[in-house]
Amino acid sequence: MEIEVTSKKVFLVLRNEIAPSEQRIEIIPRLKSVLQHWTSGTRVSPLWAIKEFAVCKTTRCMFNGPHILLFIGPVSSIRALSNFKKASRPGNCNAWVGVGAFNLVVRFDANEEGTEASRLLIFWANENKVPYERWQVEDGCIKQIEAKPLISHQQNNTLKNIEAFSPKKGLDPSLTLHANEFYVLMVSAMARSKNFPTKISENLSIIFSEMEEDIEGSKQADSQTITNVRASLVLMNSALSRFSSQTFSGISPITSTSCHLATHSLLGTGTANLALDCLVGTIVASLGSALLPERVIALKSLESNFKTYDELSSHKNFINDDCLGKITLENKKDNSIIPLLTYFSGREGYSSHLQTLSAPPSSIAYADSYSVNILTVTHELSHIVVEGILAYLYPEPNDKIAIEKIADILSKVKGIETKFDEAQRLLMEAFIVIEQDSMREKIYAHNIDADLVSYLIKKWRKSVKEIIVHTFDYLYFFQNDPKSYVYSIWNTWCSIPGIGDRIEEYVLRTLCAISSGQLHNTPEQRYEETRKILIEVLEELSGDQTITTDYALTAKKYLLENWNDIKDSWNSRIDLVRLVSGYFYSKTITADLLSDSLIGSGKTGYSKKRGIFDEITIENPLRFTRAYLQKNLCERDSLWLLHNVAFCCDEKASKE
Amino acid sequence: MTAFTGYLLVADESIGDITVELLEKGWYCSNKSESLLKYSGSFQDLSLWETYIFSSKYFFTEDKTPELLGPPYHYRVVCARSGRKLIVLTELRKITDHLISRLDETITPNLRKVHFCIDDLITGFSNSNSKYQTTSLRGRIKDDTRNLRTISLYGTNVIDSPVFREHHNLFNFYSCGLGYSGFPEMPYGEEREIVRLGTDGVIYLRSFEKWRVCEFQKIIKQVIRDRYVESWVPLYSGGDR
Repeated sequence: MEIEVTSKKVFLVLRNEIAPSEQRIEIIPRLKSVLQHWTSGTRVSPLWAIKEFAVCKTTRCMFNGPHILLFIGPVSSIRALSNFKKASRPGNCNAWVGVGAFNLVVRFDANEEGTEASRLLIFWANENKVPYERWQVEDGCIKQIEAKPLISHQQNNTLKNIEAFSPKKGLDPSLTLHANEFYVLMVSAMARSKNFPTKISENLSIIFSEMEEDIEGSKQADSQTITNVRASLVLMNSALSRFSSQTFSGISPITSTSCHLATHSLLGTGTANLALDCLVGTIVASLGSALLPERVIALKSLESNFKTYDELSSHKNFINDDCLGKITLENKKDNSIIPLLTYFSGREGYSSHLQTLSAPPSSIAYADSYSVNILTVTHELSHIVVEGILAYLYPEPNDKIAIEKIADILSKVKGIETKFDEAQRLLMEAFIVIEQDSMREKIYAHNIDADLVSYLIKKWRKSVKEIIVHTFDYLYFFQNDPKSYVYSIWNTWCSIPGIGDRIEEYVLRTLCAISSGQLHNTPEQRYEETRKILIEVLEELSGDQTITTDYALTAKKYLLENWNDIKDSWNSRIDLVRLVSGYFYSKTITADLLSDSLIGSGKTGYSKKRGIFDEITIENPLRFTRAYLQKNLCERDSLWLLHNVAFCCDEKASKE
Repeated sequence: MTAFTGYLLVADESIGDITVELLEKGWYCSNKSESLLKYSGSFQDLSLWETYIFSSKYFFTEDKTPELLGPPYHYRVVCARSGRKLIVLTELRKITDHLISRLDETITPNLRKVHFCIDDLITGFSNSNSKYQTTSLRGRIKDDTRNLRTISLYGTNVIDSPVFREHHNLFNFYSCGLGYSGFPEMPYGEEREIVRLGTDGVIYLRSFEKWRVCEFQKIIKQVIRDRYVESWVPLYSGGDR
């Protein structure tokens, strides 16, 4: 079975009236009309009508007369409706799809036919353990509510060991408030998560255990540790609060919950949160199980083919070596992947910390558009992975012996012995060369000491990390497709206000990232080819009417007018590009990351049609989303993509 | 001999076992009764296999003569029913696709297409104890670069080749042909192939010789039993044969 939704959305509006005390529901075609009569008790959510169910006219629907409104979810709408026999479907019933936890909304006339049809759909929901809520509505007023959560309070044994959620004694006073907040937020999230796929509550349990360990570890710890734990708690509490508000609002009882994302305040964004969680979870599981930091450490056991830095920096073949992919890790430690807590945040946009990741709310509306697509999370995920690897390549700031060793290597006192040394050498040489380029002054080997190394690491660490992250993201997630990468990343940057003063930095990052695919060329060929691609895409973006900022034009102008200086800066960072290409990137690991055993022939390998909801399963939401990115901004298409990622991923495949 | 293309379909639990009556009548369509398929007897005296005639107002084959006679056009459909499972095959994929879209209109919940997990299937059948060999593979590169997109391999035992062994982990295979290793006198390649299965659920049967059909049935049973299908596909159902 296939269903199609209309491209035009409508708004389901709930009004909590005070005098007389009643709750009113209606469907309004335009948000402007909703706003005109907004009161403190008004809540709203967008819905898209299913064409096969007698499309509701796009005029106001005030539910005159008796109606039954059924909210079902989270579930694949097609799965629910395909079991709704056509013969038993009343002629006058409507159905809508939304991004909330109750993502399927069905309206029946409250006559014999409609009542029987609603009863059949409820029967299906009960049989298939899908939560629902049934409203009886008369002349727009909610008369009766019948709710059926998945698990009743009595059956909810997630919280059986309630002591685990109790605030701990012996904590530093500066942590108590944040820890208490954490426990309340977590126990609330766990309680509500039982109406969702089990993966949500499993992930919350793992996150809880990790934080608990940190909180316990802070007892009688030094002040730095306590500060770190406090920072973690603050971030986690903020993330948990948003996560719960978005994912679990719009569950039963609908009228009592509210989502902080204003245009989704009635039914929340549960489906979108499930989709984000699925996408991020797939990537984390794949890259996490690849154990990249451990593989980089394992390079210490591989002998180097190069004895000097000059040999290392001039050789090309090591780039195709896939030394990381060839490593077999002995005694793989039991490394349960720690899931990330994902949520939408207007303030933070795309942002990541050790255990949390956010995406902007605009990625709900335009998840499949080049400008704000949900795949921009790969950059944030790249940050997390790269941090993990760099933790082993960088010396500890207070480790004088390690810093002196690096100074020895850089001053050529010590040579390169292992592949790990090669990687560390490329990283540390980059600091020297970047500083030379910045100061327009040569740094001689005999001037390199531990103090200089410490100073350079502090000064350039952030900038170096960004180059590495961008190159990592480009190689792993954009598969060395420069046009697609430049288009995507600059489209995203162009939609962020207030970054005009960072254009030069962004140009440099882009050039570095895409030059990783050009390392086999001579430097001159590399410069020309990379520059050409960047100018071409910036030209295209400059002429794009949907982009309201002039960053693309500014970037192009900067590139053309300052080419020689840019070339020098770019060249000074080329060792970072070589580092990622040769020691952080693996073709084998990328193949696993992008593998989809359900893929077929054709242009994209997927037979799904945009906008058509079907039962075809997918395995890899990352690959699927990339295949369906588009230039257009269309909320209906975004809904379709989120629905597929949230509900059509084959569990068997994703478990593996 | 004619090749046949089709799918393996599974009925929802609420429908139960697939019967001749269900295929012939389904649900009555809107206001008029219309037989979708007409049972026409067993197929080539093969147990399990039945012939139906599918009548459609659309013309699909390349032979223009019937077109001149006008609709309805009649197409031969070969089916095998087993409990809630149904294999439906016709001489052209577009006929099968059209038939299934018509079945969707008359049977609710719809019969669901089974998709085959080809990567898992290749791994499973590469076991040296298996009597089947891989005669063809079509795959797509995992990291989908512009430089290389797809690969096609043909032979007697493709997965035993150096090319496959060295590079298979770079590809997701979406089509796999299986041949019987027990006929060494057969020419290698296409003649040896019993069936080709695809991730999109397509079943391609080169011809309906008795030995080929028998082996095909065994292959399908093994594919379901060893779970080279999506997780929702039932292992056993009702009156499985």
